Amino acid sequence: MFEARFPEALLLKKILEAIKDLVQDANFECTESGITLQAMDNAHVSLVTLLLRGEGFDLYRVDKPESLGINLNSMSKIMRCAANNDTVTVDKLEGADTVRFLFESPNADRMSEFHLKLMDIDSETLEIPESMYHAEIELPSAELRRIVSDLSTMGDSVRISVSKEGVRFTVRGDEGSGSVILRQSTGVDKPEEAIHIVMNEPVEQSFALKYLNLFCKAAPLSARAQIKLSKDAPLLVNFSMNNIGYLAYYLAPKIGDEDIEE
Amino acid sequence: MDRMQTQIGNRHASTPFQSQVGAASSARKRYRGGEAQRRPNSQASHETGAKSRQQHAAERAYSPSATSWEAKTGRLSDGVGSSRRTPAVGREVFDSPTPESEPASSCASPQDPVEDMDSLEPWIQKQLVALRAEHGGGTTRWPKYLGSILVPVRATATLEPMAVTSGAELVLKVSPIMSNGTGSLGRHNRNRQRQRLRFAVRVCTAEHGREFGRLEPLEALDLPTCLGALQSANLIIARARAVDCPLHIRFACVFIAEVAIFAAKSMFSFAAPGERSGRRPAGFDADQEDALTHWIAQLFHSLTGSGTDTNETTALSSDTITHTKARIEAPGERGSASVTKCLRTEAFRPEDAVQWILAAAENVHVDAPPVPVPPLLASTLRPYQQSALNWMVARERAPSHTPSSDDTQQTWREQRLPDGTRYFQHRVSGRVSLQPPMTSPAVAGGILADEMGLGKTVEAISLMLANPRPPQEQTRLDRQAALFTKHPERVTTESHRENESDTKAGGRRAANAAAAAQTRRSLVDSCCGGTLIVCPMSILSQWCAELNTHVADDADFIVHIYYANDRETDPLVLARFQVVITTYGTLYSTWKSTQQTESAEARGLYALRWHRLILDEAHVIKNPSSGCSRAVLDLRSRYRWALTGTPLQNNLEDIYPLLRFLAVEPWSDASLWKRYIARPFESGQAAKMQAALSLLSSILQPLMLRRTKRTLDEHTGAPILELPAKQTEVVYVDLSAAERQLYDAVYKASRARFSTFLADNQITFYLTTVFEMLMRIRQLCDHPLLIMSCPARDLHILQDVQKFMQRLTEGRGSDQATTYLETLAGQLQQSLHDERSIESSTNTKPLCPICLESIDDAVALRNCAHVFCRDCILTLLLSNRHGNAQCPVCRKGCSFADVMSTPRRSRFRVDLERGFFLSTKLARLVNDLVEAVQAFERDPVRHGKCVVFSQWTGMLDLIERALQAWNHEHARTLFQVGRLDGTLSQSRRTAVLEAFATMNPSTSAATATGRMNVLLASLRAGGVGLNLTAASSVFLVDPWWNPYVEEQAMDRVHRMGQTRTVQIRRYIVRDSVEERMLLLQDKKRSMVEDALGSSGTENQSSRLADLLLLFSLDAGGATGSRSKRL
Repeated sequence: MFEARFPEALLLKKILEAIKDLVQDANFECTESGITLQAMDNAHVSLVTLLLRGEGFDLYRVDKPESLGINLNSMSKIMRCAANNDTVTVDKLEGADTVRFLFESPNADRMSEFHLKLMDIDSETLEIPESMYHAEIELPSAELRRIVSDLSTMGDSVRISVSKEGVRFTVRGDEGSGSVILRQSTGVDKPEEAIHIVMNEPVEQSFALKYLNLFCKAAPLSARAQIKLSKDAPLLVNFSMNNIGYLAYYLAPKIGDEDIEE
Repeated sequence: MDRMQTQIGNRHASTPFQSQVGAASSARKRYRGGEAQRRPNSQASHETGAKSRQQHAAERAYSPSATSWEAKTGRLSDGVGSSRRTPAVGREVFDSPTPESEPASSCASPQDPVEDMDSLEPWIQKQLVALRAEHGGGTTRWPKYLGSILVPVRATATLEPMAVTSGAELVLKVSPIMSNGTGSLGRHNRNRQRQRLRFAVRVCTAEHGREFGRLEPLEALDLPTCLGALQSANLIIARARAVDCPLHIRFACVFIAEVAIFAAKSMFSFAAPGERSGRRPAGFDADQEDALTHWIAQLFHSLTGSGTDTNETTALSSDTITHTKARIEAPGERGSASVTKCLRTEAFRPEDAVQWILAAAENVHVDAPPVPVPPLLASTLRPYQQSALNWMVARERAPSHTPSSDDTQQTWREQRLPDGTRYFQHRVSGRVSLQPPMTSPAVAGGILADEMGLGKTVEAISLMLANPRPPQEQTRLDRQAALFTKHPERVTTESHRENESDTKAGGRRAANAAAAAQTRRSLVDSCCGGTLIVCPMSILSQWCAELNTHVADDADFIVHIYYANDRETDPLVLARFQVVITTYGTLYSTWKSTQQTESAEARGLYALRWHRLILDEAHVIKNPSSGCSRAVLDLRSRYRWALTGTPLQNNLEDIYPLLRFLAVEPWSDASLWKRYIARPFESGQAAKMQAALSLLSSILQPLMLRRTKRTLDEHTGAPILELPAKQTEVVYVDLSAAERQLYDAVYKASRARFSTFLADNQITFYLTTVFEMLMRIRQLCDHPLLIMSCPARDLHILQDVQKFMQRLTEGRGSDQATTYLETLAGQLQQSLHDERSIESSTNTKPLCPICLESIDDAVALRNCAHVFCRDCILTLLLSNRHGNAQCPVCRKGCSFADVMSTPRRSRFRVDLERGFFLSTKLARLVNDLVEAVQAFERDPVRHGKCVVFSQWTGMLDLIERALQAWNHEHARTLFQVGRLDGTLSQSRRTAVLEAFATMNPSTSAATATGRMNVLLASLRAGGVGLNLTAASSVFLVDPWWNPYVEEQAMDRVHRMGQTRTVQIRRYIVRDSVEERMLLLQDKKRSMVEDALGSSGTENQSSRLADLLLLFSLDAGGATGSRSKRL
């Protein structure tokens, strides 16, 4: 028996929006401590991990750890039937082959339930090593989204280089090239707009903008985004949802993109 | 047979409710006392069941019907502690359906040791045992069973068939509902969350704890939120079981659950009764407390059908009215005025309400035992004052001042829990309490609302003397205080000195000091102050003077003025004074500082319990949320009196703070007041308004004594107050040709402008401008120079005027009028030139060190006397938030208190010495004044001094100048002029009033001030509360919008103590705006509201009509094309 209640459907909707374009099917691993999801895209270039802690829910109950294989597109269709401020209860009975979504409007004057068939999805869970990153950048998520969407109009890949002067996002395309530089700022008046850059070693890597664009769909979940870079290691973009959990993406760097390196 | 019924009732677990639920859409299980009364035989039908019948019994006995009160109150008062209720009796209530046996059991001891566990349904008993074991270790009797509600549950899941059956226990889970649809979590606005916090109550199976439903809100009550709020505050515990449950629970089906509610003890102590502002339980703020109280009321309402009186408005108000009336009509109280009769016969208009209430409260005859005139009273009391004294003493001594159960019954309703425990519920707020609520003792005191001039002050003084503080309190105080030193400071300094010489004894002394402080504190607690008088600052000195006059010299009668810096703060010393006088402002600041500190010295007035508290001009506290109004509530005193000539000024709301101050139960409760008086009155329905009015007047009847000057004496039929005659004369002044020309020109220009506004329909937008124009026109009627007294920054206006006058004189022959205008224009030109030259030359006038320009509106700093523009230095001080501002020149510290105005040369642009001239009105006034003053000098017995009122201090300046000019011209000092306006400090004000009151013959070689014979007073500053009976001639130089303001001013002279015929002259310029203002005054005299005083209630159309009248435009002639001569 598994039960979880989200106080507002909006959160779940946003999470789905942020994942479903990257992966089609995924296993929601429900354990006593919370719900986790780990999945790679078809091309096995990026990896998304989601953690929703049990304490973040109104109600969270797992009698026996379960793995819910769900087609995210179908789930997103169901979630579209919920109003943003509806309460969402997800439950699955012992041994059942469906998961149930219950939507209740705040006034309790409308209730709806949907059943979604579960799938068996083969996937191995990857151990992600905790490593020291060479550079860590924390910035407003809207800022990141803007940079990524701006640059993707110019080219396919972005070169992120962290040096003493700041972070430089460089793009080179057929029509031309461009770059955005962010500097450390404390955001005196608005701490939520601060940009923090921690650099242990200068790093320079290039990434596919297509994936970064997909990652940035998670921007509504969190006001701040973290980017972590290391030489010869995947890029980490992390959106943390205060007390509930986080949504993190890993992206392998592009190799052999020598023309930009010049 | 009874037992059989009981069993039937107990067995009915599910079936009978089905019909109930089906029939009544609200599935509450409610058992109204009223239903039982309608069926007195109480052959309870099956559906009512045993439990309900037991509730019947309890409720019938305690339902607040008027008949049962009598019997019960008697018992309550004589035998509260006696335990008549025995277990056997308890059973009897439960078992016997006969109504006769109920009264015997209806009175229980407050402890109520008996519990009727057996009467409860078995599952509730089981729950009770479990809960008590869990919460109190099984030793306490808490929690207690409150009752059950049947609630529809909507299934949110499909269960297997037979998973839940009727009678199965359910688990309730409370969860808050997020209602801030902003999206991401963790970003909640706390305030909003609190306001709209709602709860859902989920229902789970007992076996697996699976959620499968939620409680539906009832139509009348958001039950889930109610339960959620109370349960999460740990005030109640709810348990539930399925009652009417289909075999197979499917998604969205509805079934019925019985929710049993158990009260934790904290619920009953949640808001201790009888506390007015009281301490609240830890952990709750005011909002939460309000919300929880609300939910408690709602819960009780749905449990018993008798929470607060939301549905029983009419019932309570009629109850209360009957009771209030009964008290009024009781023998010994004053006879009831035929209040209700008036109401029915007179055509009723809401705007007359205030007048009506006042008229209804006017009472001639006072049935109170006569009180001997106190020997210490130096003056003699008039008959009506004596009767006021009788009444006041009777109010203070009345035996009804002990708290009566009657009062309690009005506010609190006695109820019983299903297990027989007695509790009390507040009728309006819904608070509940186990202890019999202590209503604060009925008000000892009242409202003395005699019209101004009847001598409220004397009446109050005579009361102080007639019913003084009991002598034993005084002597005890003396004796105990003698043990201590009178001045604690001395003790500390002495011991300090000794400490220096002998350090060994230091520890012992410290201990002694601590013990002494302790004793002192208890002494302060035990002793009682004298009479505390709170009055506005302006009449502080008058109180002192009156006390001096009316109290015979007596060593024991000491008056202390608790004001300014030399006030006494030691409560023990304060307690030794017979009378302490303070102002509202001082009281408020003391009150504020008591909020912060606990030390007795800082608490000052608040540390003591007073014998009597008198608020003079009590309408000052009419705003219930103002600091003053709250500050007076916290004073402790045995008797409370409010003195005011106008207990109601604009609307009925005005009286509420007074009732609150007097602690008139139950009306001092704001919610009750609102429900029964304020809201019905605002409802606009005639019947409701009348009911509210008659209720209010019956509340006020015993509390308030009001006589007016027109009140007739009950024995002689003559007016109670015989004042000398008052002759009012309107002196019409015709402007000189030149003045007329100027007036007409300005007037026509203004009227044209007004017409444009009117045509554009923009009057409301330009209202300020319109009033400004009106003011200029009115000032022109007084003196042309007045309109030039505008501040320097408005120089352009003057330039306009000057240009205007130049244009007026151009192209005319040199007749007299033109010369006049030319002179004026010339003067103006000169003054403007001077102004500019002063501005341009830096030598003549100092520069402001801040803005480096010539000083505009100069102020100086007290410490260093450096001079700045007012704006500049104020901006500087404002920008400095830490309070360590420095003088920009010398770096000395300065604050707002240090800023003082430098003496102004003259407010007029024109040099008064050279350019002064008399206007027609002023000339006329001076002539009349000469006559009046000469008459006074000749015969001070028949003729008094003169008081001149104007609303412009500028005009007063001019009058003063004119009188000096007269003195100068005639080479004799006929006029000795005094000034009274808003700029005077308290001490100078007192000096002026004293000088004016002294009747030194002019021949004596007294000082100049002693001979003051003309007082120039501004209408606003001199119009209120003063006693100017030394004068007999009143000159009102210009009319004011509101006739009552003028009347107030006249009454300063024409009041008690006046021995001469009062001559009143009002100066009105013929064919001018002033004449039309007279019309307006007549119109207003019939209205209560001060329409131009923007009280907010007036409608715009009437105001517009007023303006049209003033500009002498017909409502149709808005284009202003009329050529009617104005």
